[in-house]
Amino acid sequence: MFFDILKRDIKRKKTMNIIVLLFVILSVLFISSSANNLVAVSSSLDTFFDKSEVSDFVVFERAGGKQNVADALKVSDDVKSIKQEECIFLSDFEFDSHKKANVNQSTSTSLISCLSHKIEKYFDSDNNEITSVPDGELYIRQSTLDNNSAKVGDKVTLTVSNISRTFTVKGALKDAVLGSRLMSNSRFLISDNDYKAFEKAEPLQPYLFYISFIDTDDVPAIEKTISSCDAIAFSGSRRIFRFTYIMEMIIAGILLVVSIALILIAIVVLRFTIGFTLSEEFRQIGIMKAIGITNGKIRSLYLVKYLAISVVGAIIGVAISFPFSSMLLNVVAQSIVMDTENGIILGILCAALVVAIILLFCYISTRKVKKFTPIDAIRNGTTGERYKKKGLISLGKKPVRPVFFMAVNDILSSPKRFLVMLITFFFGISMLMVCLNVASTLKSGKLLSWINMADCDSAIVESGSIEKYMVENGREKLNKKITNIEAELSKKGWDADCFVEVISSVKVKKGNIEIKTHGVEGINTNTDQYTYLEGTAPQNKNEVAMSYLVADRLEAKIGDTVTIETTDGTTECMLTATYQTMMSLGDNIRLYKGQSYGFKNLVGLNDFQIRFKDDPGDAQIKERNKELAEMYPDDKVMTSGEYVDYCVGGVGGVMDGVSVLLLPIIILIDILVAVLMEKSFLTKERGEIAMLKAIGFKTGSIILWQTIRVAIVMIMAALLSIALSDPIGKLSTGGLFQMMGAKNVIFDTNVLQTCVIFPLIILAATVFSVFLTALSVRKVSSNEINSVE
Amino acid sequence: MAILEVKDLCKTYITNKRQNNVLRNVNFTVDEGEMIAIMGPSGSGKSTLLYTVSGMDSMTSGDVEFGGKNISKLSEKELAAIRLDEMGFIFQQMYMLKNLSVLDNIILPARQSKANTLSAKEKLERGKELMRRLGIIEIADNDINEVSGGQLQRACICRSMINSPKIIFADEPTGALNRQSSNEVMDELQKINSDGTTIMLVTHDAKVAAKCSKVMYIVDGNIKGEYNLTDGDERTRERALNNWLLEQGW
Repeated sequence: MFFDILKRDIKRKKTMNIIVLLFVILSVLFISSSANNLVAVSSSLDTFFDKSEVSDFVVFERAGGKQNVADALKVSDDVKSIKQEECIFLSDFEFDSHKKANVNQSTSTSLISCLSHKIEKYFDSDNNEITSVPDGELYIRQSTLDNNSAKVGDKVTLTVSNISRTFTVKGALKDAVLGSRLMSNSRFLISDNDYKAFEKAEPLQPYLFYISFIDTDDVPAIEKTISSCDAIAFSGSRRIFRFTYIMEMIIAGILLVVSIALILIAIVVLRFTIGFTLSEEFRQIGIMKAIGITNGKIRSLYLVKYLAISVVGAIIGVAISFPFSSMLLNVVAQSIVMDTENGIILGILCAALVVAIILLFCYISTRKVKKFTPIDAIRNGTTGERYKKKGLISLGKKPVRPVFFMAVNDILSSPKRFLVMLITFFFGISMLMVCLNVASTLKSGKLLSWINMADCDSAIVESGSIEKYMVENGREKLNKKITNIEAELSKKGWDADCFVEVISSVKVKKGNIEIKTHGVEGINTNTDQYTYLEGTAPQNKNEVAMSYLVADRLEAKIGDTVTIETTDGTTECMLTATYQTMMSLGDNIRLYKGQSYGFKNLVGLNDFQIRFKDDPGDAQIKERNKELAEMYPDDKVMTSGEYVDYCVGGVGGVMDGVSVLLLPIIILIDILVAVLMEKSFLTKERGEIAMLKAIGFKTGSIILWQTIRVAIVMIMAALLSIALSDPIGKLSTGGLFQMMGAKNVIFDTNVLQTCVIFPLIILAATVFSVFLTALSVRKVSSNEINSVE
Repeated sequence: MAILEVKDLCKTYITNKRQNNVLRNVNFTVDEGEMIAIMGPSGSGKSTLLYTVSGMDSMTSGDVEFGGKNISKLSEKELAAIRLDEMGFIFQQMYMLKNLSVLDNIILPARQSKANTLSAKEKLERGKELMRRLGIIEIADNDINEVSGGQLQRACICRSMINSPKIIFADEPTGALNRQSSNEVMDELQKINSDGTTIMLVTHDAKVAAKCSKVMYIVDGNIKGEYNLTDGDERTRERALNNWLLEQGW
């Protein structure tokens, strides 16, 4: 009998059981995929760094400094071992097939390396160590190929000073130190013979670069020891290099959040389904009790059913999670040697966890069985008790269509019935809004102030490397270039300012604390053009502003005096302001304009920014950019938004991808919940529907009533999501921005996309699915009125 | 003048490949202003007859003319419009929308009707007026689970009257009520009938049927006989009806 009842239940509540099954599948699919991905990415990073033999501390250093790292560390007791790799940085690189798409052809240093100089190991796309590179061919990381719209087999021309050679891309390179998307520098791995050919460049020394791999137990001590080295471009511990893979972690992290939300939704759906099933079956339960079946036995009936559903769902979910996980990991696997050995065990563990949670919840929810008595069965579920008033509004003489009134009144009278839908819709839309807001913010020109840059309308990314400005008279050369650009713009009739940021390596000291950081100076800007968190912009050469991260590290407060050491000498400066920046992971100081330091040792040069004085609109800027692109055919011209995205390493694009991935998932979840709810409403309201039909309501009006309710709940959820998008966004992504150096997030929302288009797509899909479900109203006949319970 | 003419009405259900002829060539006429009771044993086809002639259920064959329109030829939409504007319904289970107040439930068909040209305010006033007439105005703003069965059935009568229908169909209107409430409800229906509204009801109760002007006795889907109740006091009419019913095999 037990299994007969079970079989009938599964058959009778087919749709509801299928929806619960789908939720179990989705929960298991997402939780095992995302947990698998997160564990795979984080553990793979360690494995990858170990396999690549990356040391505890890595330093990038130009040749020709007064004191080099190797010399400085010779006498240090903290060094276990030190190995140095020689590289050459490029003047230029250009892919033949996609010259104009070459957006990453920037002033950032791109390196060439060869195997005979290597310290860390390199891997190919199949995770095999690269042990040889044929002459005339090279390996390059996949993200560089993607950014240049290039592929394996394409030609690329590399230039070092006066030597240019063309290579064929042999394959994708997995490079632990320079392989992440966040790293603007990329490495070209060429053959020893080709490398030797570039060593004949004249002059060579300005292009020589050394990467020191230092094994140590005391990273701070090493940092202090090398602080006197003047040619360091960048240094960081293994943890820092690991951190540069944050973009690869974001997708896995977001999916984990989606998974947790899905499990919560699955539990809420389950609670609703069990509650609904029990309230529907009060008569059966009452009869079972009347004939002496115990509460435990009745509860076990439901437990067995949900055990069966969750086990089937878990098996299907785990099975799908493996290809799904691989698909999601595909982007990550392009840069990392993945370690996915524990995927199956983890998947099964996650599935078991979901089944256990569902059963536990099912056990708790079936406590209601105890409340039903045989009298319920006899009295048709009523006890004669009068209930409190439910209706909050009255139709009266309000000039509204009855179906609209009925829909609103239903929601206000029984809000608990619609809560599951409201929560689900709200979660879904909010998650999507967060992603869209992050994406649009990271592609917004307004973000320039976050990265402590002056506001601009356009930017010109000059092709070629910065070496032409790395000379004694570099400042004059740069000023001349700026004057030329302004003159060219003036000829076009555009009154505009052109400016650029230069970055040098500086040492900052306060008391006993001494750190190596980057000094940023705006050429042709005033320091008050930048946004500061607190304090006032530096007004003379004895004043300095610094990122709050540097100030924290120095334990410096506004008004404190710090010592700044550049290649040209030492200056005592007062800290006048702090700011947030996303450049150099939030780690730099802003020097007063013209504060002299040697251009010879610049470590970076941002791009030429243009600000039109006539305040043109977006369309006008785009038009002007087209003309700018014609004026500077070898360079890449961008809008301020495109430039921000470029500066933060294309994170906006990654978030766009995540949003596109989330949209169908959210639509699917919303549809499943809405259809489940609508089915249950139709079952509960069968009598009312029959009555409405009997008194002359047309079927269309009843379908409209059913559909409008869900539409109203969806609109409420969307409005709630819009109202709370800022705090939710800050709560969920504040950490991400903080990791990138910004602690005060102000989202730049694309109102049309975030508040209108995407919610409308979800609304349309969900409401349409409810409309289709509500069509079954046609099957309810008005003469059922006396036969419905 | 006939308001409802039923000719050769047949209704057949097919369950498990077995044909069940619920109504077999039923013929009768209802004149305007009549109050007809349909009686018969359980399963005789009383409710099916009521639902079929009111357009709530489809017929297998035959014709039903209501106010000059052959309802067997009308679409679902047209039938819904007729039920809304020209017919009123009262059921044994006092079905109303749970989330609406009693008054809102009553005026709902008026607000939905396009044929009812009264303003929203006038419709509300008419709803209140009907409630006053039936002595339930004090429950206007109550929820339906706050009132008694008798009050609820009178509210259902108000709802059936809201669009001033030509005919009211009532299926066991007193079936779920105690004797006192039953009498009150029947008194109200009699008053409505005396104001000119035709009423056709199904009942098992001879006491209820005795308040009507005509009784049709149905057995196995056929009208076995019709009995016109003449004037007289309630007790005399009831006794006469009981005697006739006994003759029919009641």
